[in-house]
Amino acid sequence: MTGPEQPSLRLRLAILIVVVACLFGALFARLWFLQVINAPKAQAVAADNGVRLIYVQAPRGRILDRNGNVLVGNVNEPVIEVDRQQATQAPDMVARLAPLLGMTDKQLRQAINNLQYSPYAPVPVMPDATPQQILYIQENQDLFPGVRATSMSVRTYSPMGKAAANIVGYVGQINSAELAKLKGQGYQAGDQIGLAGIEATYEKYLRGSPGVERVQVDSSGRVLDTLGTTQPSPGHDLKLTIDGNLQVVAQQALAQGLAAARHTFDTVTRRDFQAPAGSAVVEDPNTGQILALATDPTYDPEQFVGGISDANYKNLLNNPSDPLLDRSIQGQYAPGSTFKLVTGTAGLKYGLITPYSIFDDTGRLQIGTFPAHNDNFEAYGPIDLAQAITVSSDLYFNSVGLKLWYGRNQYGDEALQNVAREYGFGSPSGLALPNEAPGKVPTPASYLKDHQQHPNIFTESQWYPGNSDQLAIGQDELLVTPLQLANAYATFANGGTRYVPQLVQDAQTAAGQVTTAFAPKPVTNIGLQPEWRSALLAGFEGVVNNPKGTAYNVFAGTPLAGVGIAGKTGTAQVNAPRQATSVFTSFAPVSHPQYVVDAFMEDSGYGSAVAAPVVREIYDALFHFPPQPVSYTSGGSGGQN
Amino acid sequence: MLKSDLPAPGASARRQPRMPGIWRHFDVVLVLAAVLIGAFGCVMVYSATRDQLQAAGVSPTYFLKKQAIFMVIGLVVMVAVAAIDYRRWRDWAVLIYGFCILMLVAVYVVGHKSKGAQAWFQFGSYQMEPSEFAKIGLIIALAAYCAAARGRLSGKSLAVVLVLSGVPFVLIYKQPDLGSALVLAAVLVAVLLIGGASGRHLGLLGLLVVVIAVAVVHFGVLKAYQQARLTSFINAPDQPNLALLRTQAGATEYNVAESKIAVSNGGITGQGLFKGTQTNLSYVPEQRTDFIFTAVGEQLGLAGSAVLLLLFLLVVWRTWGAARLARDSFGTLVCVGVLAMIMFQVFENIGMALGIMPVAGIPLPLMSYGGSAVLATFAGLGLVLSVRMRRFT
Repeated sequence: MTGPEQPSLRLRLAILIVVVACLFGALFARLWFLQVINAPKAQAVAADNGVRLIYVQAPRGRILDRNGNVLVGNVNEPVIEVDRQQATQAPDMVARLAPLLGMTDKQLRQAINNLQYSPYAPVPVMPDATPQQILYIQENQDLFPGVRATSMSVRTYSPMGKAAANIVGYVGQINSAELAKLKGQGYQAGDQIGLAGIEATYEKYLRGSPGVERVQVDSSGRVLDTLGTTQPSPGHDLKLTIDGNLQVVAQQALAQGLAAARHTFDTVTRRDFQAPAGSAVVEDPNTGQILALATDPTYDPEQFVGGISDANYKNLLNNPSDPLLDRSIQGQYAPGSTFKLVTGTAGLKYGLITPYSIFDDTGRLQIGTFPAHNDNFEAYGPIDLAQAITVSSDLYFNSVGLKLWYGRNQYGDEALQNVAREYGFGSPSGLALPNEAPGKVPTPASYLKDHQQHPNIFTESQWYPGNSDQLAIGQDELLVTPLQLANAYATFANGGTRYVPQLVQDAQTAAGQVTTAFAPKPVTNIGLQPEWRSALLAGFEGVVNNPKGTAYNVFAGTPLAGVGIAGKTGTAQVNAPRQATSVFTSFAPVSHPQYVVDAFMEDSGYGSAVAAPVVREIYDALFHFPPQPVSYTSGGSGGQN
Repeated sequence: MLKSDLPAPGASARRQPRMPGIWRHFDVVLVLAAVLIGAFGCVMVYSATRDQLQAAGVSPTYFLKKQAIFMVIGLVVMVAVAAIDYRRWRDWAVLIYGFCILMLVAVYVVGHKSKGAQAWFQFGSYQMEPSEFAKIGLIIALAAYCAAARGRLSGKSLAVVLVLSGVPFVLIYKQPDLGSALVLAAVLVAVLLIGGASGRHLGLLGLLVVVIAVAVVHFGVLKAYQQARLTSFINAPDQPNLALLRTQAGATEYNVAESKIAVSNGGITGQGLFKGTQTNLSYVPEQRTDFIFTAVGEQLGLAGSAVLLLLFLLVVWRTWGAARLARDSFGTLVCVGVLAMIMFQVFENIGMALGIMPVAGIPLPLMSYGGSAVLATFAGLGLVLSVRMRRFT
C-alpha cells in the first residue's frame, strides 16, 4: 500500500463505511421499533413498574342489638409498629428494641420480616404493648428510628356480645385460600376477615372499604413519593334483631337448667342426667325476627382478638362438649311430641280427623304384631284433637300416622312428610349464619337411598307402618333444629305464614343513619284453616293452662299463668346410652302471639322437667316479671312427653 | 509546515490565520461532535445518579462533577495528542505496546478487584483501568506493524499480528472483561481488512472465529453468566415475566428486559429529562455506565436518541474521512483502528440496551461514567486529529 489512492484500499475503506452505515441503520431501525411501535405496550408496563398500592384497613362496623346496645365494638389497643425499611438500615435500633419488648434479636427480626404484612406499611411487632413500653419509646423516640408506638383497632365484646358469641362470631386473619378468592375485592395478606357468625355472613357491610395509598417506589422498594391517597371508609354498623338482655337471660337459663338436670337422678337409665348441652330460641312470629338464639356450652369470643393461640384453639376444637357448635342451628334432634303440630295439621288437611272427632284412647294400639302404648301405659279414654295435644296422647297421633300410610294410594307416600316440609323441616331455614343444619325428614325413599349408600349404618331399606307410627310422634329418623321447631310454631302462631328467620334489621352508619334496611321475608303460606288452627291452639293452650296439661305444673301459680302461654312438651327418645332430650316449645300471648320460645336440653329427661322451666325464665324476662330460677320439675303424674 | 510558515503573497495575507499551518486542518466538526456527546453524557450521568445520591445523603452532583472533570482533562489530552506528530507513535510503537502489556500484567497481580473483575489500579479515590489504554496501545502497534508490511500481509505476518492482539486479548479476557477483549478483536479485524490481509486470509480468519465461537459455547470456556449474557438476547421473550425475573435480581434477562421497557417507555419525545420512571427509579441497572443509553432513550425518546446516534455517526464519519485522507498507511490504519474501537463500542453498547446485542460490559464512548474510558477515547480522537492535520506534511 503506497497511498490512499490505491484502488484496493479505497474499496476496502468503502466496505468499511458501508458496514458502519449498516450498523447505524440497525440501531435506528431498532430504536424505531421500540420507541414508536412497541412504546404503548411498554409504557403500560413501565407505569405499573414503579407504583405500589398500600392498603389501609377501614375500621370495622360495630354489631348492635335491637335496642342499640353494643354487642361487638372496637377498641384501640396499644401496639408497637416498625418500619421495615428503616429497620434494615438501623441494626442498633433492633438491638435496643428487642430487650424492651422481651424478645431476642432474632425473634424481633422475624416479627419485622413477617411476610403477611405489606412491605410498604409499618409492621405491628408487639400487639397489646404495655403502657411502660409505649411510654419508653415515645420518650426516647430518637433511639428508635422507624418505631412507632401507636394503637390498632381490635374487636371488643360487651357481656351481651359474649352471650351472643354464636351469633356475632369472630374475626381472624385471612388465609391464603380466601385471599386468592377475594383478591379482587382488595383484600391483602394480614387483613382481618369475618370467620364465623354475623362477622362472616355480613362481612361485606362490616368491613367498609380499605384506604389506598399509591406510592412511587424505586427498584429496591424505597418509597419515594406518595402519588395519591384514598381514605378508608369505615364499615357499617349492623343492628341485629337480637335483644341483648334477653340473650343473656336465655344463656343463663340454659346454664341453670343444665346444672339442675345434672343433679337429678334418671330413673330410666339409673344415673344422673348427663345434660351436656342445650339451646333456646326466641322468635317474633309476626316477622320471623330472632330475639334470642342461645346455645350452651359456648365460648368467649375475646379469645380470638388479635389471633387465637394454638393452644386455645385446640382446646375449643377438642373439647368433648364442642363449644364451637351452635346447637340452636346446628344441633339436630328428634322433636318428640312437639311434632304433633305437624301430625295434627296433616290429619286435618287430609280429612282423617276433624276438630271434633273423638278417638278412643284405650292405651293400646296394635300395629301389625307390635303393640303401641302411651307413656307410662296411660289410657286417656275418648278424646278430641285438643285434648290429645293437651295430655300428649301418642296413640291418637300414632293412628293418624298409620291411616296416612295405609291410605298412601290416596294421599301419597309422603303425605305427613310434605306437611312437615311446609312447616320448614328438612331444609335450612335460611337464617344468615354459616353452616346451618338442614335436619332430616325420613321418607320411604330416603330409607332406600340411605341403605344403598351406607348399608352398615342404615340396615333397613324398607319403610314399615311402624315408621309412620313413630314419625307421627316425632321419632323415627326425624331430626329438627331448635330454630326449625321455633319457626314451625311461629308459622302456626301467626296463622300460617312461614318467614325466613331474620337476624339483622339494618345496616347503618356510625351516626345511626340507616343505609340498608332488611325486611321480613315470607317464604310461604301453609294454608292453615282457622278452625284447624283454633282446635290445635286449644290443645297447646291446655298444655300450660289445663291441670291435665303436660306443662301445667311448670307455670301454675306463677305470674306467667295469667299471660296466656300456649306450648307443647316433647320428650324425645334417643338411642341408649343417651338419655331423653327435654323439649319445650311455646308461644304467647295466645290471643295475638308476640313471641315463640323453645328450648332443647340434651340428655335431660321430660320436656316439662327442664326445657319448660328454661322457657319459663325467658318469659319472665319478656313480660318483665322477676325471674324464677330454673329448677328441675320432676315428673308429675300422667304423660309428660 | 514550512510551506504554511511562509507569509502568503499579497492581499491574502490578512486572511491567513495566525496559527501554524497544520491547525488549519484541525477537524472542528469532529471535536464539536465529541464535545457535544461528552456534554450529553454529563447530563445523563447526572440524571442517572442524582436521585440515588440524594437518597444516600451525598451531593447529587458528585458523579456529574467528576465526569465533567474527566471531560476537561480528556479535551486537554486530545489537543495534546493532536499537537504531537502521530508518526512519533510509530517509532515508539514497541515501547507503547510493551508498556500496555506490562500494565495489564501488573493489574493482574496488584490490581483492585471490583464487581468481580480485577481490572483497576486504585489511586486514592480514583481508579485507572489499563484495558482502556491498551485499546489505544494495540491500535498503534497493529497499525505500525501492518503499515510496515506495505499492504501485503504474508501468512507469517498474519501470525505475528494475531499474537500481538492475542496477548492483550487474553490478559483482558482473564480479568475477566469479555467486553473490552472483544473491542480488541474488532480493532484487529478492521485493521486486517484495511491493512491488506488477503481475502483468503480473511476468510480463514473468519472460519477460525466461527470454530472458536462454537467451541467456546460447547466446551464451557465461558463462565455460565457470560454464556447467559451472550445468548439471552436471542432467547429473550417478547413479554418478559418481570415478576419472575425480579426474583433473581441482577439476572441478565432482567437487565435487558428493563432496559427495553425503559427505552420503549420513552416513545418519540421521551418522558422528559429526570422524569424517567424506569431510569430515575433505578429499575435499569448500571445506568451511569453500561446502560446509560437507556436513560437517553427513556427521558429524551426517539428524538434525543437519534440526535445522539447522529453525533456518533458524525464522529465515525469524520474518523473515516481522516483515514481516507491520511498521508500514509500508518495514519490510515490508526484512524481505522480508532473507528473500529468507537464503532464497536457504540453498536455493542446501544445494541445491548435495545436488546439486539448480547450483554457485555462495554462503556458507551464519551457517555458512560468513567475516567479511563473518557481519556482513552479522547486520546484516540487526538490521534485521528493529528493524522488529518498532518495529511500534507
